[in-house]
Amino acid sequence: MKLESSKTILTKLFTEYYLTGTQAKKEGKPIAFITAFAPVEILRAMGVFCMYPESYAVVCAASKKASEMIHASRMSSFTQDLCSYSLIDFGTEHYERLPYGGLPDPDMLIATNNQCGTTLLWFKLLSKKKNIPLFIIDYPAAADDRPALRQYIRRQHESLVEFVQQQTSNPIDDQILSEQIANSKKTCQTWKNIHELNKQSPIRLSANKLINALFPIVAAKGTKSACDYYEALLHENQPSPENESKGATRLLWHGYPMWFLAKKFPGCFDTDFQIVLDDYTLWWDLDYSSGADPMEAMTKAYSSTYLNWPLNQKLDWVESLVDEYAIGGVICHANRSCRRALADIVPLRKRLSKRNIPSIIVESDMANPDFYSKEQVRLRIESFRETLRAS
Amino acid sequence: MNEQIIEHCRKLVSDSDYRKTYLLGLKDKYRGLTGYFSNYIPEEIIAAAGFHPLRIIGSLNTSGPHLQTLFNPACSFVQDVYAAACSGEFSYLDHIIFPNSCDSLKLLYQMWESEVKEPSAYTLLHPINTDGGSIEYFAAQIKVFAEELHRNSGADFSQEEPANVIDKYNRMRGLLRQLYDIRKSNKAFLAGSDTIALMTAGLIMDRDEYHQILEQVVQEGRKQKPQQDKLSKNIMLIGPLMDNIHFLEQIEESGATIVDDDITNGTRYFDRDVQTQGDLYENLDRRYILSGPSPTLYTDPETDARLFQEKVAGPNPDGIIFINQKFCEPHVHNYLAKAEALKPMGIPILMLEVEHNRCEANERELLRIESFLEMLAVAEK
Repeated sequence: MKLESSKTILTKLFTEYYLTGTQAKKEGKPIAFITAFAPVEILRAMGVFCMYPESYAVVCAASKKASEMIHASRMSSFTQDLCSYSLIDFGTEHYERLPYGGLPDPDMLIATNNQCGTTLLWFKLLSKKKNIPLFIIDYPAAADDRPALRQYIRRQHESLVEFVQQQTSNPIDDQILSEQIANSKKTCQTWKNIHELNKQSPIRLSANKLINALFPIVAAKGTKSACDYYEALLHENQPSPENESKGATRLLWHGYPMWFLAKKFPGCFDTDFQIVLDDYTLWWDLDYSSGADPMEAMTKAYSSTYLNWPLNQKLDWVESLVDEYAIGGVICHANRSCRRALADIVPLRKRLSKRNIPSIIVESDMANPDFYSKEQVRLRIESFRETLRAS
Repeated sequence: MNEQIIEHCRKLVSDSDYRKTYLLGLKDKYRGLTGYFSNYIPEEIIAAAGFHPLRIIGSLNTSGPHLQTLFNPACSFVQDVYAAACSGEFSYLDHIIFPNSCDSLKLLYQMWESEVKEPSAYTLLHPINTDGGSIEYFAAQIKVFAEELHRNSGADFSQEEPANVIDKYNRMRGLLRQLYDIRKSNKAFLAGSDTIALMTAGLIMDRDEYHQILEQVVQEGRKQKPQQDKLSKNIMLIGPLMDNIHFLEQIEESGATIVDDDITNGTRYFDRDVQTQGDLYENLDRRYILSGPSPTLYTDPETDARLFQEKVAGPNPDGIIFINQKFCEPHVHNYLAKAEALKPMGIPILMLEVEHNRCEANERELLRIESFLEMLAVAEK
């Protein structure tokens, strides 16, 4: 049997996501808006169709509509420093030319703080504005070796089941939950394997291609389609002897991409310097390995997200990527939309400096092009390349 | 009103050198000085371990190109604290306690661990939900926190000491409530800016001394006959920590009287006592988690709005001034919610976003304050 190509599966996944959302609304099926690291497996096992406003904000930014939508949000001037994803979302209410016609109205909101505190504030405001029930899951820290914390998080997952049952009357299907967890685990493993192809030179997938392959693990994690997509992508990119860009200085992009740019990263696409990895895409490689109990697996996976890790764990991890991917220089994106992601930049650069690995900071935003100064970024990257040439 | 007391309080809040000298003087009385952020850290636990709990407020004089800064948009309070910490401002502390609060404080905590290092930092992982499971979890966290502090101080761990401390803090909160009540019927008794200076100084001062001061002030307030009101507009102040006393004086000099507040270092600090019957840790956790709604905790938005409307209805101010620290994201959202809740009440609100390390209002801010007060005056006619 001929396997479907990754491109075909991705197109299907993307189209189905938006069409199913609209269809689900028409059929009266429950729809939830959830944040990027919410335990989606529970919701799917209860028959809820989940949509990600953050992912939609990315689509809007990539469609070059972010700036207009942020202005359309009619928020006051002092709110312009808020997270651009949230501002884009507030803009959807007053903007007519929405990509895919916009998202259907949700029946419930699920927000978590394992990535940032912004999503809670954003969903709280959304809940109040549209009078939609909100459930918040608190992940104070990675729960690895803290039984009390694990218990606290597990209980919240159980309370989520009760909340969804109250909203939908649907019970949880344990069989579907187990399947979802198994699929999530497999998806994360395959996603990691795909990245590892880039440990070799020449790389198999540019950082830009990896970014473009992110959608299924964000919005369809837990489904068989997402598993199939990454299996196909891995299969299509097995190493083959090629000579392109051999000998290039291998760069790591640290942090969020710039969704509004056609290639998602500024510059560095010539033969001498190549971004071989953006660690942001690996933030979705969650660890579901904690036992056979689905609730336990989710407790570990969702509390231990990159942005919820202690500083040293973050630094050790990035440093391990630098070693494994033979990185010669690091570009740190100081994304003004994400306070939580700013914490590791200075200490990371110090660590890298001790190992004589040059690094640079580029200040901009993940989705709002108004905070992107093309000339300033070009000059900084040009000067960085000079440093790399000399080193 | 005893001007010396007020001057002492003003200086503790506004003059970081004066504050430092004062705190160094307490070193012998306690087992050490413990800095902490936010209203979610139970001071009683710190005090029961023999440490002096000191709320970290701003330095207000840390601007300068030589100072280390965090990236924007870390909030300007956190920027100010970080710059002060990098210049050794907190070297006299024995340790510092962070809350599980906003992203700016989380950023500061990680930068503290990496760059500041001393005094050592600890995070109290309190919950952000307020349901039964969260309360149970927080009680366990407070117990771990108490044990850690006692290990650190070497003080005996007994149930008796926390109970005594809780009683002391409850009495202190009670006196603060009395002070605010006195001002409701006699706002000329103490300027709004001085009230907030007095309130904030209590987060820094030796609590025994503070208790005496509060008793004296409240006694004086009770004796004093209500004085004729100035022809000023009654303003309620809202927002996060507002420790820039001179800024508040400037507001009042522009023709306003701050009659009440809903700020971190105001009524939100003392609005609830710790129960004394039952489990110590659960009582503490309920007091801290269930006191006045805060934007970094999740409480029901409808209930928040109703409670806020009730709070405003009491003093029924002519207008509200919301002072936010630049880049404080939770309080931008808080402002949006509060402005919405005020609409049916018809009370105008002015939002000012200020840089925390600036000592006084700039021309633009003064102009906005004056215009707002003028608008309130016209509306009255």
